[in-house]
Amino acid sequence: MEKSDVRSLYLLAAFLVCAYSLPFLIGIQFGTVRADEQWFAYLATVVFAGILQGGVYAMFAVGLTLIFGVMRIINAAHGEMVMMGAYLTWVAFFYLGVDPLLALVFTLPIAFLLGVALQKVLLNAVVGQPELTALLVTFGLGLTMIYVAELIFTTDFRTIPYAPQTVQVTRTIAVGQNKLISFVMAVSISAAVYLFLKFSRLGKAIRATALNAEVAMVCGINVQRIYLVTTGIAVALAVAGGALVSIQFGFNPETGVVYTLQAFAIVILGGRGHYVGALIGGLMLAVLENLVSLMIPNGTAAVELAAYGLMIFVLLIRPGGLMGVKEA
Amino acid sequence: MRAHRACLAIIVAILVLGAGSAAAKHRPNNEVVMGGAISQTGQYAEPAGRQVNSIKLWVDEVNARGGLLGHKVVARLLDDKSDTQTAIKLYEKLITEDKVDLLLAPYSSGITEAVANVNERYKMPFVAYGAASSPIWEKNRKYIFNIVAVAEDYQKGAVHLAKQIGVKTIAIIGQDSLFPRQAGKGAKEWAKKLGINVVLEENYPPKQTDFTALLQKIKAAGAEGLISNSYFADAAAQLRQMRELNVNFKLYSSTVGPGLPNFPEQLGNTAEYVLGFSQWEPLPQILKHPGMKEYIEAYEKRFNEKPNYHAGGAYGSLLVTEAAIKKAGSFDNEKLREALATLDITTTFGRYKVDAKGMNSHEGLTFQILRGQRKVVWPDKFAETKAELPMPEWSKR
Amino acid sequence: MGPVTAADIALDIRDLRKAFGGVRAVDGCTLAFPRGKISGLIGPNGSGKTTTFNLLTGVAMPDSGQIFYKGEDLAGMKPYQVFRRGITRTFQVTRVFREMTVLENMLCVTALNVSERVARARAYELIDFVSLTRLRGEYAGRLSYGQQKLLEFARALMTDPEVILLDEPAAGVNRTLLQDLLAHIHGLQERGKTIVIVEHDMNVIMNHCARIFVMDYGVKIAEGPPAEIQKDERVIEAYFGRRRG
Repeated sequence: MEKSDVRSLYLLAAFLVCAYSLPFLIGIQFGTVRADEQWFAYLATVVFAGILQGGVYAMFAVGLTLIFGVMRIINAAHGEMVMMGAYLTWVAFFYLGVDPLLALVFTLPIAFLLGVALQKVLLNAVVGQPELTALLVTFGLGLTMIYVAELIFTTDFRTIPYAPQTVQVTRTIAVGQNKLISFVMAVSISAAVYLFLKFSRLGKAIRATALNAEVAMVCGINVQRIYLVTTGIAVALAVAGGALVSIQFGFNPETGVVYTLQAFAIVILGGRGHYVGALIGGLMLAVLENLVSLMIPNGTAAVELAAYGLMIFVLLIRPGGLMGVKEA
Repeated sequence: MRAHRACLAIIVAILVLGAGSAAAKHRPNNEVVMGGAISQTGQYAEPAGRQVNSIKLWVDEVNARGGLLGHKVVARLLDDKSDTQTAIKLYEKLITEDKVDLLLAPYSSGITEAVANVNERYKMPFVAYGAASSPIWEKNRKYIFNIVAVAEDYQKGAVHLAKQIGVKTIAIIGQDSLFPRQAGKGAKEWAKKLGINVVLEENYPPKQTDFTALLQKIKAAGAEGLISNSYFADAAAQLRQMRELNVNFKLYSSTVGPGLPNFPEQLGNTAEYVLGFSQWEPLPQILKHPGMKEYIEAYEKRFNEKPNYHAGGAYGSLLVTEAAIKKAGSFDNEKLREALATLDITTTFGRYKVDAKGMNSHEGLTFQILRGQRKVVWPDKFAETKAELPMPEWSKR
Repeated sequence: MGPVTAADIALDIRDLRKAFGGVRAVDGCTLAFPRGKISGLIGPNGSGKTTTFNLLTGVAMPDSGQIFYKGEDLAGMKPYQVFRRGITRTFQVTRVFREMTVLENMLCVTALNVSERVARARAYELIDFVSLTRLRGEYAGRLSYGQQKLLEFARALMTDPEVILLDEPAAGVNRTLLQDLLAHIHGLQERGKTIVIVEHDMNVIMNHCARIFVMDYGVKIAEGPPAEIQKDERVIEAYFGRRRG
């Protein structure tokens, strides 16, 4: 490892210690931090909830980073694909009476095929074009999806009352059953995709294409087909994410935007195109958000500030993101 | 052949549309156009949509009664997409390009506050039915009138009920926008008057969906009751997460969410015991306002649900406008403004009599969701039943 | 010119053309590489050698012309399609996955119809073959340039191809490594493989190629065994005469 690399790691560690202790310091200043057992229980609940939330965030980011890594396309419609997943699940639940998790059995293949179609019809045209072109195209796609969803479902907020009970994890930490289920699902799906990329032949071909499409081509990889598969998987991941959103939060056609932004922040934080980085970035972001919200007065409004502040400083210290290799 | 028919259809469509827009510009003398931009999409679409329902109902009714001063009323409703900037542009367009004769109010305090500058400039009066924030009427504006109770009084009943059941500490939270902030301010003042300690005040961004940390913070601050100045999505999320996290309060009150018909429907059992505020309820036997029964019947027949207070407020304000035009005897802006400022009338929505600022002193209702139904529990003179408080703990439901 | 399917011709290129903007990089080139032999493709800088390789392997699309291989026209095929027909190549500037290890680079050749175990065994064998055994777990980006060339060469052999195109295999490779590499190339030839080398090092070309093809301005100007080519007037002119003036 190069010297400058090591130094940036130390700097990063020092910064992260500061970033995560800042809410505590501010909290002590304003008296929102207490040293009794009861308060530590609140803290533990919040950190635990952050970790659970982070797992789901990470799954959004993985889909985004996959497309970016392989095709250098910034998919600004990723959040809308999450929203689409939420509606697919909702329709399955209310009209067909299918369990939201069981619905994945057929929503995921549908999502995969939609992704393949999307690649063929739209994205193939912008692969290799300047990144802004792809950004504009996917941005337009996202808006189209919002309006279509508004036509079909109206702007009413929907929720799926699924597993609303509370789970007492420890004596002091309680968490929603749906959150726990979502986390387990998100982690399993992300892990499955990770293992697929790491060990399967197709997965290796995807990674090879992401590293260098030109080299992949001369290694006998059908890059066009890899693009199709990649977008298919990314859309399936988004739709799976949507299913997990739908059992936890209310959603309407416009909620996708929030998820796109979150996924962006995580991808940039974790390192563009970097898979494990996305997982770590997701956890870090969600935990910090919850700490800020818990301890800083009026902190809920400061959450985004903290999230993007974290992102900017990490980028300043390590331009490639947490796990990113310095670009040659 | 088929291609020809398609061509013909397109030509006919163009002609019809063209004729339509031409008619709007050079409308015949017997028509008056009432224009407004109301959120038909976006975060306000839910409550605003019910106001649109009432507008449509009133337009048909007033035309059946012979129109306004013998003119047929045509409504021109645009969609501001719940966006302030869009609303400003659309009102400019309605006034300067479309040259509408009368204005309809937009929805939400924030948008109304912005639009109030536009109609003030062009001196076109309207009665706001979707804005309950008093600062709108504290800027010496002359062309905007209000019909509903102001935001500051939305939590009045909830705070009074908190006092009745012996709650000593409350937290006040709300979405970070004009109306919820005003409601929060009012709740704090009422709490101070009644000797209840406000242990935490916090605003959250409009798109917040995760309240886990905030709920823990409220608990950590030691609040017994939670006053939430929220709309549908945030109120629903707060309740669901309270249940998930097993966070219990003696009382939970939300400003807008619980008043929407599908709130108890979507949340089921989780919505039980929640307090909400209503400007009005479709309860003619209790409120006893004139014409209520007929209005409720007509609305229910057309839209398959009972009107809520958003619908009721819009309808009431249109009846006020109708009466004012009759009193003014003209569509002249100044004469209409004068009439709206001096009118004293009781409509289906209650009494309309504005003060020098243009504000009406409408009295609202506090209800509780009990067994899936909204029941008025405060003030006592309008109460349908006694409030069931404190809320039972989640583990005991 | 003999018939297309002549048993002694591996790659039969006919009137191949490719222009980049106004520059006619390959301008009606006709070449026939003999089967089971080592051929050399030489010419001054910019004479169209690398472009010819790119057209052969689908990296670039020809404007016109045919490339016959086993009776099939390869012109206009995608790189992976050419690759799967048994024609592999190396590049003038090495193309390896710098962020992957040597072994992972080898295993990225996924178009094999063999089990993972067999692929792994073959990768190990080839890594040994090019003497990179010690560096198996090293990131390719950390190898020396010569070592990357060897890796690329080994990777080109993963599918056991019939035709191997080598673009300047000697450049940047030290003498000892080069001798090993040439020995490997002869070993492949003895096993019946067709090899085409683009090279500037005349020692390599003259001492190791059975037949030499000379290109200039995108066309073939001469063809023959090394002794003949060395004396050919046109070749000498192309390399020295005209360039001086």
